[in-house]
Amino acid sequence: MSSTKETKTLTFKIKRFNPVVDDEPYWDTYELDCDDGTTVLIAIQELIAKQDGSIAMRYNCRAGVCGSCALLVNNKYMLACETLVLQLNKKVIKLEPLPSYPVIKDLVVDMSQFYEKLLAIDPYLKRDHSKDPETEILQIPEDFHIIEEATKCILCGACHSSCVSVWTDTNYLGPGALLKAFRFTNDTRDEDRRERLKRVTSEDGVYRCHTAFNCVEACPKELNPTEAIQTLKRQSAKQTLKFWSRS
Amino acid sequence: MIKVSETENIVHQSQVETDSHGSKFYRWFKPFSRGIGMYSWLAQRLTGLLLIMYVFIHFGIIGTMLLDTFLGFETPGLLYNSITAAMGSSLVAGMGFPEVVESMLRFSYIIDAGLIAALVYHGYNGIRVVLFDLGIGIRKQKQIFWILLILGIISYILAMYLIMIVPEIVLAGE
Ligand code: HEM
Ligand code: SF4
Ligand code: FES
Repeated sequence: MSSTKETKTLTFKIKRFNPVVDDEPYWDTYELDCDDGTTVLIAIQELIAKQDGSIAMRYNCRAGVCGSCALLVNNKYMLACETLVLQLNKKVIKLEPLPSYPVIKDLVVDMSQFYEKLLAIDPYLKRDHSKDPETEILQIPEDFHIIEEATKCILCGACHSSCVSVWTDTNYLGPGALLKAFRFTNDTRDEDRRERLKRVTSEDGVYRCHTAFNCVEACPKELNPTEAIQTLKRQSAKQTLKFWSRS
Repeated sequence: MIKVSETENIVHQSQVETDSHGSKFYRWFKPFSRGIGMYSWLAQRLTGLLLIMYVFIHFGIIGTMLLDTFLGFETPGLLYNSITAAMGSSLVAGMGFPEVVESMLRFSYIIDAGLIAALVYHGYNGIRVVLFDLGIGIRKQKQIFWILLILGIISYILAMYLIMIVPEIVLAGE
């Protein structure tokens, strides 16, 4: 820790909205002293503790692991707990909830549409467990490497919120769920690959993606859902062609 | 298994159409975290629709070649000839501009300039999208965009030279 702490007074503009009582969202402005250790999350917590207890914010791990604190900071998708306010180099910091999800209150959105998509792709290993070893199911590093990046997804829902294809078709599985689908389809321990590929080939599956790359711009973990979707497209096309050439 | 209760869904349903960023329509124009990828896709769709519109206008005009014969007029080709003559006339005819400018600002040239711009963009960005479908260059999408844009601009200048300048040179030589 540095002994000379730089402190600056920053302005926070928070988009407030309580759909039960408010007709329209509105902005509240706050001033707060921040130092080089202040994250957006710490700033919000201090505002709640010292200035306005009515601000609603969701967080859990405070360490960029749980994915519950994603929001828009100055129009960019970020994790509140991982973003240092002084490093933004802005005097005014604008905080808004994730777009395209219904607002529950202020910065807290209802992400059930994202979770529904996630459940639809069966986000767990599927295999004949009767043959499983006593201890963990081992995987060689080369096999893990294929899905390594995809396993880093923390399900924050930023990508789903940013996707133009989700905006035009709310049934579309979306980048987040499809990245998970890629992760399990290409897990060498999984035995459900054929069915998984069939599922993502449905009307609301991978072919809704027009490679607009909004999810890549959005992802605070700098993952690449578009690449995963493009891989699934090719894998599902190959499987379908194989099916036709056999019959 | 997590199951969202029915009532909860109903309470928030209207908010999906209008989240805290405004209506579903307004959302498209808000500048949050988006880049070349989205704008190039939007332009791809808009130029694609323009090209479809052009195809229909093209069918209509070419169709007039046969229309007057079909309608039993005395002078076959009159309709088509007068349309093409009107298209070939200068926008600044009789306004005292130099002859070169007059001949370059023909109605048909202006339309062709727009059409070729749309086609060149759509074609080159189309190649970019096809590359992604083949799994090529997905992590270099922005660089590929700029490279193809430069190629597109070069092709465009070449095309403009061929349709606007070369005919003038040929005509002048005759
Ligand atoms: C130079 C040859 C062409 C190439 C390489 C090409 C390529 C493409 C590609 C790859 C897409 C998909 C974009 C996406 O997934 O979002 C597309 C979309 C489209 N194209 Fe073309 N195209 C060409 C010519 C044309 C022509 C002549 C027309 C019109 C008659 C046309 C109309 C469209 C339309 C309307 C779309 C929008 C569909 C969408 O956004 O998915 N294209 N083009
Ligand atoms: S891919 Fe990135 S943006 Fe999407 S849910 Fe996972 S961590 Fe969040
Ligand atoms: S609080 Fe868990 S990711 Fe930010």
